[in-house]
Amino acid sequence: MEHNDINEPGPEENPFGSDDQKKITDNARLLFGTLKNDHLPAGDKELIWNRILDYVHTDGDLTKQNSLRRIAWYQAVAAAALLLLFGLGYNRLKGNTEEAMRNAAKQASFTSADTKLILADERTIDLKGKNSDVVYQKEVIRIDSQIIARQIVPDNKSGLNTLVVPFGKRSTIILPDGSKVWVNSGSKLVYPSNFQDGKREVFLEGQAYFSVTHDTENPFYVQTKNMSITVLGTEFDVSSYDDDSHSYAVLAKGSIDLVTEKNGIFGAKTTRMVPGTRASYSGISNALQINTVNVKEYISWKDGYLILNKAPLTEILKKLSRYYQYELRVQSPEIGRETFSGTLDLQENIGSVMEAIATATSLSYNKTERRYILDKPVTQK
Amino acid sequence: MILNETDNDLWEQFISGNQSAFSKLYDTYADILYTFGMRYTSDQDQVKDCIHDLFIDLHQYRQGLAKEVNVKFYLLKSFRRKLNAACRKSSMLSLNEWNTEDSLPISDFSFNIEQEMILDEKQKEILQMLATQINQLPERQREILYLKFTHNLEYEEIASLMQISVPTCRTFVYRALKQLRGKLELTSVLLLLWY
Repeated sequence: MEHNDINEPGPEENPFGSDDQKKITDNARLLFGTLKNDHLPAGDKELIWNRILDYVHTDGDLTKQNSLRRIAWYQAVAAAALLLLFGLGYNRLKGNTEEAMRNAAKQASFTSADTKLILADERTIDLKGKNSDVVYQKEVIRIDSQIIARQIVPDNKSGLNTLVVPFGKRSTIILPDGSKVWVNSGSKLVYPSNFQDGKREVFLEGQAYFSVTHDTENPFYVQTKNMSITVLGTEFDVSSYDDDSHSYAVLAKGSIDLVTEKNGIFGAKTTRMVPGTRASYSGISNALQINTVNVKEYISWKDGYLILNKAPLTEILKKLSRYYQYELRVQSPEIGRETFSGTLDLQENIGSVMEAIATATSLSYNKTERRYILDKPVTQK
Repeated sequence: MILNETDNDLWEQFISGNQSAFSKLYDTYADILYTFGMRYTSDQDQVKDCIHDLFIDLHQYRQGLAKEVNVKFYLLKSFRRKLNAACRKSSMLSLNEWNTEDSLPISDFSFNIEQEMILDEKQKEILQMLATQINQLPERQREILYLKFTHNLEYEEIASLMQISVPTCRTFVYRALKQLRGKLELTSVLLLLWY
């Protein structure tokens, strides 16, 4: 918008020199920029929208509209839930290709500090708080046990939803089939609003722990940038961060099939994993390695702590910085190679975690606003 | 989110019946309208009701809507009209004095100078003083400044929104600024030192 024209002298009224005037104008503008604004709570925003849609979709039934006037908004929650019982079948799903999911993940950015849920109709819901719970139940979405949105899938849309969990936040989500997913910091999970025709497929960037509801008829697929996983019902952890050259899968229970080299010249390769193993796959060299591991070490993050068993300091710091959204570094590489064993409680704040690490490794740290640097203690000269 | 469409594209898509444009329009403006509405009343439910009604009206009458509009201005204006009508109705019910004219008083502003800006003490002091002065202006003048500075509306738009003539609107702005300047005479030396 072009700049405003208070400077323009009126024909008869220009009571002061334009210099002064400009300053007052600038100051006033500055001042108005600091106005304390009332914000529409996210839940209410959804509620109003749902009521607008109800109205619009019933073609403006006037009697109903009148009876809705001036009811307290909390009652509207109940009303919205009741309406759902009549099940308006909006959800239509077109073949969700892996490609569409990949694009959805790409489009969602970590710009906000809050966890966000991007719905198929492009509405975005911000989830406050460090840990949030999302539950899909038929056509309602509950967030931290409040009904917050009703799903409306536009006709020509793929019906994909995206959960974006920025660094420093975590979230759990229960998908329409009852499968539960713990989504770690710095991750995106893309999934259809409804698993139609039984096809269960999600796309993950980052790390998540899946507890998949058993359904022999309908396998569950987890797609990542360079590997896919097929399961029937089991528990496993997947980690596929963009800034990691490797993707990992750790199997806790049951069995899963790993599909790698999806675009390979000899076609895709399928590998079956057994519980207690960890697969590490390099997208660059197409090398797949499977090792027996202590599963707990890899999945304890979902319960809020880290189990470390001779873990190199650099690895620990990488995990912690994703978790707390702090830059954590070591002053020199040889410090980073030192290993560390024990249990780290992630519920504590970053300060006490770093304190614990410093004590255990007898290193000192240097703290600035969003950064810790670990170094050898300063010796007296 | 990648949004290359301008408000006007969105508006036109909405008029031609695009459901997702309607949803986006709501997503973009519900918050702005709420913040705007809460300047005039402290009744949250009333503001929410008006947002609800406005979007239903928009949807219902979309085919008759003009395509070439400043979307924000159009929405603010329609919304203010709704809010005015609703407030008048509720004040009639509560047996307060009522009139048929536009009678939506804008509330006082609470500026938070402490936050956000990095300023030295002198600047803060001046802004603090300016803030006090703005709150002492007559309602209508305060409202004009709000529409001008917070929402960047043009004189013509403000005039139409407040149902006054354009020259009256200009006069109001000059008068407001003159008064502010008069009150700030003592600090004008400081003002000059700023830039």
